[in-house]
Amino acid sequence: MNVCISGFGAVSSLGVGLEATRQGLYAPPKLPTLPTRVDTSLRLPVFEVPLAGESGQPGGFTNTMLELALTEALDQAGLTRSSLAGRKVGVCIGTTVACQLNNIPFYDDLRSGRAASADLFRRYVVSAPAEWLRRELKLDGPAINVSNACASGADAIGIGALWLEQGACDLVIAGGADELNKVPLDGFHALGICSKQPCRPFAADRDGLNLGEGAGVMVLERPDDAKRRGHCPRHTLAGFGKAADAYHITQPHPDGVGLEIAITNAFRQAKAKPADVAFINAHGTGTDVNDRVEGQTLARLFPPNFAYMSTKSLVGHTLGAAGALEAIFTCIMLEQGVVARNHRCPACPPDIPVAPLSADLAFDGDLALSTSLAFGGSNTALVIKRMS
Amino acid sequence: MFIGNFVAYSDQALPGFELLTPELLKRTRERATLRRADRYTTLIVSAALALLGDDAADDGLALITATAFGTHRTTFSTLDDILDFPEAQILPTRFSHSVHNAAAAYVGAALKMRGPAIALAGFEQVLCEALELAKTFLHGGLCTRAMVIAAEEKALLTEKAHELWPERFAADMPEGVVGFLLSLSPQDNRRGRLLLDRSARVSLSSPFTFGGDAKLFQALAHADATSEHHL
Repeated sequence: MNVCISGFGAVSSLGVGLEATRQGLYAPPKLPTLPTRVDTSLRLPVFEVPLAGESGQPGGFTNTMLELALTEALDQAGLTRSSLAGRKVGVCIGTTVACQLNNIPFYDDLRSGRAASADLFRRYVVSAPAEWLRRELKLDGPAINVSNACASGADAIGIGALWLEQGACDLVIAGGADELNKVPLDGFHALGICSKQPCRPFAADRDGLNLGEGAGVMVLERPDDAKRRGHCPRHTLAGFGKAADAYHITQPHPDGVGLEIAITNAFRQAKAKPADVAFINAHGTGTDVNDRVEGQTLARLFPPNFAYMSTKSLVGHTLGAAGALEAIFTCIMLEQGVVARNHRCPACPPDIPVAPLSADLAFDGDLALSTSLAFGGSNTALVIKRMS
Repeated sequence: MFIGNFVAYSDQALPGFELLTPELLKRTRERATLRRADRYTTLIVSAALALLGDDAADDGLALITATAFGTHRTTFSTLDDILDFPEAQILPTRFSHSVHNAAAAYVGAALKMRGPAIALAGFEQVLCEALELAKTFLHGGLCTRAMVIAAEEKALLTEKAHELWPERFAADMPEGVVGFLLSLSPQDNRRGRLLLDRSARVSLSSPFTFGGDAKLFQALAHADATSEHHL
């Protein structure tokens, strides 16, 4: 696989835009706080995006973040919205919250036989992010919303790259977006996987995740197309691997079977081997099971003392946006030549053979791996390359 | 792409569809030991089992599910929990089953499928997008066979959709599922060739994923390997 990442944009609790993101990746971590936009009695810290917005309304805050990330990605790619007209442009966006009508007052009216808001229902139907963007930008290529739980954003990028390789379109807008919402907050709490403290991915005393929100968008192109318009991308997507565990609806396979297949397939596409990567931006949620399975699988596949970390201690688990944001964080770290540390994990945990990075690390390589593990045993691996 | 198999079930007597019966869903639950799975998931698993028949799944088999409303019964049950009980007491199983890709997880576990599985949700030609994606996966070498399964369950939201947006949603929307088993290998051809043409697609804006092209489904029900189907 050889698809250019011509531009990218990011919105997360680190801030709006790439500069804030770049600074936030290497700065002392901000701590999660109690939610201000979600009406909840649960005292669970979350990573909120520092923007005013209308959360909980179909298409509201999710698409606001998505549009901000898209604007930045297009700008970085040297494109304008109007320049997309007439080109075969595909849109592939991962999300979880935006594909479900989770509005509680609307549902309360509906179930009680009161007049539920037709306007709100119509907004839900027209706000599915990929279709909404296709309409907003007046595009006529493919548009799909990937709702593959926590791997959605990474899957969307992989699918976008495949579209380009297969000639389904000439340019792709791919990524993920999700806002904080009461339903997943309550749901993850019910599953017993939310931490009441700042999350500690891979740490011995990890006790759960913190939810986050955000959007990450990439503009993808074939290398020849980018070259033809005089654009010099700084990264390529070299490999996309996708595999299922065939095991359980929420738990990963204890041996990381699906993750191993996904990683192996991604490396095969990239014509690379595990020893070639400078670092791994792991899924690392901070939950007991995910981190154990992921850490043990990575330790089995990679050379001793490989470098890995998770950015969820910085931005939380952004669900449908996570895979896209983490791919963008990976690009930034490849560009900087420095991989950010894994926060709040001071020592090697007893159940994982190799400790994550406890300090920022400068490196010389140009290849990195980003992994995503989702509900339902859905595993995704992206191999990203820095262009020389 | 060649169509290895095609299945369609609906609770209404639609041309080309077999009747979706409680017995069918019960058989699926027993065969795939679906103890907790909800109705939407059972629809998807029913189609997957029927598509594969006696064949075994292998790592080259991909799954793409497509829906507009998805598992809204379960989503709304979760909202019932939130509205009727203290927030900290919602049922974890309901929440985990309200995730769109729960159905794909059940198919994977039931058939021991380790190939790529993707759940799509949308209101604009989502079944067609899923079929196009299967083609992309097959040509891209991500799989050697792909199952595409689109389903909608009857739920409060689909029952009220016409009332809330009469121009867009039909009254009395059917419940059901359609499934395709696709391959690039002529050896897998049982129901003919499927030709996709995005530019020719004008009448599939129905959000109800499997109701979009009655003629196609009707033709597929009686098709053999010599048939050619356009979408």
